[in-house]
Amino acid sequence: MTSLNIQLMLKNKVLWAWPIIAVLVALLVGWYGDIQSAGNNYSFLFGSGNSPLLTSGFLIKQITGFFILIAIIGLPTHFGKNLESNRASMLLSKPISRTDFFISEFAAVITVTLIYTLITNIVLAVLLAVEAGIFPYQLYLGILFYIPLYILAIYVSIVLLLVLTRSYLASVLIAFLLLAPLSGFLLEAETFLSFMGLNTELMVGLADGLSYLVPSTAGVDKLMVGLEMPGPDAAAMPEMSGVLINGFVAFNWQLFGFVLLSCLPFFLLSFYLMRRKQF
Amino acid sequence: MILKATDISKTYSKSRKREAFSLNIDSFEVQPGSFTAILGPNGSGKTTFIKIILDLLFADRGEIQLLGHDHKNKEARQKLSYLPENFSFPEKFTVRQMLHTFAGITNTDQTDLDARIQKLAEAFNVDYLDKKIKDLSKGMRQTVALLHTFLGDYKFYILDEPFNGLDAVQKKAIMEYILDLQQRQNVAILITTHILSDIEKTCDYLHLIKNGSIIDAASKDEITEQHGSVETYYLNHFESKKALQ
Repeated sequence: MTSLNIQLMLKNKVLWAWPIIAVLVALLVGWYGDIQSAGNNYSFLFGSGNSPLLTSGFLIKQITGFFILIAIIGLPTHFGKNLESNRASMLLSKPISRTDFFISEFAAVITVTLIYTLITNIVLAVLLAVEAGIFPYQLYLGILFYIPLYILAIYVSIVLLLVLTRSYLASVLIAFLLLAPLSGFLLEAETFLSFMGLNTELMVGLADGLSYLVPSTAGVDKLMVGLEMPGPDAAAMPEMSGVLINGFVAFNWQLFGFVLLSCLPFFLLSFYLMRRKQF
Repeated sequence: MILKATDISKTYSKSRKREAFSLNIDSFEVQPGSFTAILGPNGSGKTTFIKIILDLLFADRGEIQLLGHDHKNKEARQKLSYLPENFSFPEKFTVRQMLHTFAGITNTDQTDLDARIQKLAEAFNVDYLDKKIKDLSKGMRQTVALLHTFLGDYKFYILDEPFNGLDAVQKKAIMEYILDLQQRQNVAILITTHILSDIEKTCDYLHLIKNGSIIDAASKDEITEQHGSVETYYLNHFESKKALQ
């Protein structure tokens, strides 16, 4: 079942835009841009012609954000199809349990996301090795964590919405537009509540509890914040920059655990609904 | 016993999308090597019953044993092949790719798979194995769905309106294949249809279903003896009751 899902995803032209754009960006930056090391082995600066040099964080933020958007648009289409009665009744009449059906979906999404993230990393590695003479492997590991983790967090929500609404468009839009601000609010609830004058113990506790129930894309962003700005000020950045400089011993595993834990309620709820779904 | 369903009940309340409906099957059996048909008008509950057997819909009550297992276990579907009335294949796959992929998820023996696909394609008059599904006509898609259903070594085939959209020549070729398979491998077949000519010559046991209940069941011999033909048998049950109403 996982192999069927992977094959379906690999045939998705929207998703192919991801590695194709990665290659095109690398070619454009390589030919027309000017990349140089930022004086260390973990970040770089780039510019074009007379334009000022920008930090590697800017480039990484733009391309990862764009790839995540492509993935969010492309990945759920086939699960939406699989959930349609005509397809689901064919698949579930085979010796496939609903658990297999559900788990294989996530296995396929993680596999395909990792494949495309690896392609992106390879393209970036070739570009940086050739143009800037650096090999920031911790940056590549960071990207390998960041993109699949972010996609997983948002995909869990899309799957739940798909199971509930059967509408691809509604699921993608709601998850994409609401998840980031909602999880951001919950992650920094104390600050927001105090800004609104509502920072009572009850409200803070409530928000804290809720933060474990909503997949925390904001948590992923916070975890990887240094990836976006590993410029000359990297040492001052608390999260990913620490990793870029000091290696993965500096990785915030507690926040990582929180992100995974926050995905669990939506995952379990969609799994429960899937087991009760009739086709 | 291939299939034994007892005391099955399923009720739908009236909603915006559909009328209230209730399915009540006291007892239903399929024996090894038999060709059983469920006949009834549209909306009589044929597909609902099939979907309950396959655990696609959940019965409110009842017990179903399928190929020696509770029907909710995936092992019950190990030696079963199902052709739904409405199906959806991945449009971007070619017929051959689709058959290979689905053979992969059903644990179909992969040895000589290409040769078996070719043989089946010849029996079903299919010369478009390398065409994409999206480029096929309705009849071609139905034939491909049948091809997918019969690719594999199964003991029990459930065919829901299998000849929808097929022309007479194609229908004859496929029916001949099914009968030959049944004789060679003693497989059991459960077919639902509302087209009597589909099963007139082939069925050995028939169940009539109306408004969610089996109103009569008889062997082909009994039908021939008492009514002359399946058509008369069917009309006697449905036409007369309609007239009385």
